[in-house]
Amino acid sequence: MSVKQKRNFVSMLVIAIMFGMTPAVNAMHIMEGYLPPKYCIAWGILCIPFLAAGFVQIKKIVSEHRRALLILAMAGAYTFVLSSLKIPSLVNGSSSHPTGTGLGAVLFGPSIMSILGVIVLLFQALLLAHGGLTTLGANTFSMAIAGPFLSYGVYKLGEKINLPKVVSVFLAAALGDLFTYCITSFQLALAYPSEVGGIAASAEKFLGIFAVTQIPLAVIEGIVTALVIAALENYAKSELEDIGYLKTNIAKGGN
Amino acid sequence: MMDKIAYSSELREKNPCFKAAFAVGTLLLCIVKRNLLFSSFILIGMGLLLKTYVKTSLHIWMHLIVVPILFVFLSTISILINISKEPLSGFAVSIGSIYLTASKEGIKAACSLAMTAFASISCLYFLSLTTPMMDLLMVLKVIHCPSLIIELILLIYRFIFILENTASSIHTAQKCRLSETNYRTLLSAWSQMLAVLFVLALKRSRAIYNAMEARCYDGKIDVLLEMSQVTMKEKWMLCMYFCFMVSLSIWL
Repeated sequence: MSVKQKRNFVSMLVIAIMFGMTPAVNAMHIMEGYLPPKYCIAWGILCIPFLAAGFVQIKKIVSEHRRALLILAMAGAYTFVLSSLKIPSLVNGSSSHPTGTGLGAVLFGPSIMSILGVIVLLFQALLLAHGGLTTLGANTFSMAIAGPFLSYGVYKLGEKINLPKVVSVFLAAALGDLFTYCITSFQLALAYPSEVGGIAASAEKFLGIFAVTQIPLAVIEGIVTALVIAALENYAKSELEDIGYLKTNIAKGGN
Repeated sequence: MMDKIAYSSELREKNPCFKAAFAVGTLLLCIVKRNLLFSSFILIGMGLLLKTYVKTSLHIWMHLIVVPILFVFLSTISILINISKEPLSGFAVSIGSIYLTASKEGIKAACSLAMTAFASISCLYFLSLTTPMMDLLMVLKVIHCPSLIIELILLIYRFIFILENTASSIHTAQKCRLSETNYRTLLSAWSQMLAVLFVLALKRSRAIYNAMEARCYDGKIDVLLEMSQVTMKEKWMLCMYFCFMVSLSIWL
């Protein structure tokens, strides 16, 4: 092979590996040991107010209805199981994990979801080695705070402008998913600015690489979440009313 | 899941706080130092410890090792490679008029980053392969985590296994009925399964609450936790170990 052929071969190989491997890994979590200490601490501190708000809310709900603790625990376990399931994606027969936080945010509200989310992330780190202890703060911010809050906002907005419920749930879950992945890319870019072009170029790079899996995944998660909500409305009205008092409590707490 | 392995590891009986202090301390040192040599040292040490004290099948070991390698490989490549019009000092591959390129310093930084990631994953593995979740709850109690959170963690941990069982049996039943014929049926089967799972989870939580109420549940789950004592010798060894590691990290 000539030098040029070799170069072409290597570049093709790199691209093939990148495309081949992206779907196999869960791009949403930042791995253990991947962030410098100052970023670990900074993201962790940023999470504290949200977690404190969630904690106060859960405490209030539980003191009023003791049963709610079990429902919350089931919701947490549900989120964990949902995020450990592999949803097959259309891209070259691979599979990806949904975040499942969109559904939780719509059902329970975002601040409760942040506490459940941090526990689920802890389990994922310790039981499945997805994410890690030192990157828990950064992961919590992107997956358990930013995503759910955006989902909830979109869902409420959809309700206000009278979109059909299915559409607003779809938009909430899909956009929440995309937002999570944008935040993750931004976190990585902030910690590792590109040698050429700095943070912006680096963010572009991460967004580009993750886009291959994340955009189809977000759409699929949106569809699945919308279908789940539709199915629940059809034949689980009484159960939804069961968790309804969680929601009215949130409304009271918010005022 | 790694919890199963943890129950059968030889360090299972040791005090969980001791193990957590060891693993997390090493992890923090590794992250703060971020040095290629230091990280490889930790990686080898943790690897040897895991190999001696944790017995599991080759298949599981392969899985435990391969997944982080894929992860680290991918993320490091994306940090390493720049897209630029001019080649940098390390290497450059041209695609049309632009280059995929990296500088020598960049390659060095990426190597030490990858090694740090591997070493910290090995610390995490040490913790989760020798200490079951229930023992880690004791550690949380020692560091004064709010009892509401601890209770929530305990319950979520119990429910995960119930829900996972239910999910997998529903999935099997759906497969028997040809749910994976094409992508449309697959998606609808998935969403049906998730909806049913949610309803079942709520029903289950109601039943569990009734059962707990019948056994005088008053908002607190008291479980007898046994914590083995840390011997003086172990305390000294931990101190010596950290002194050694800190001086090593300063020296390197």
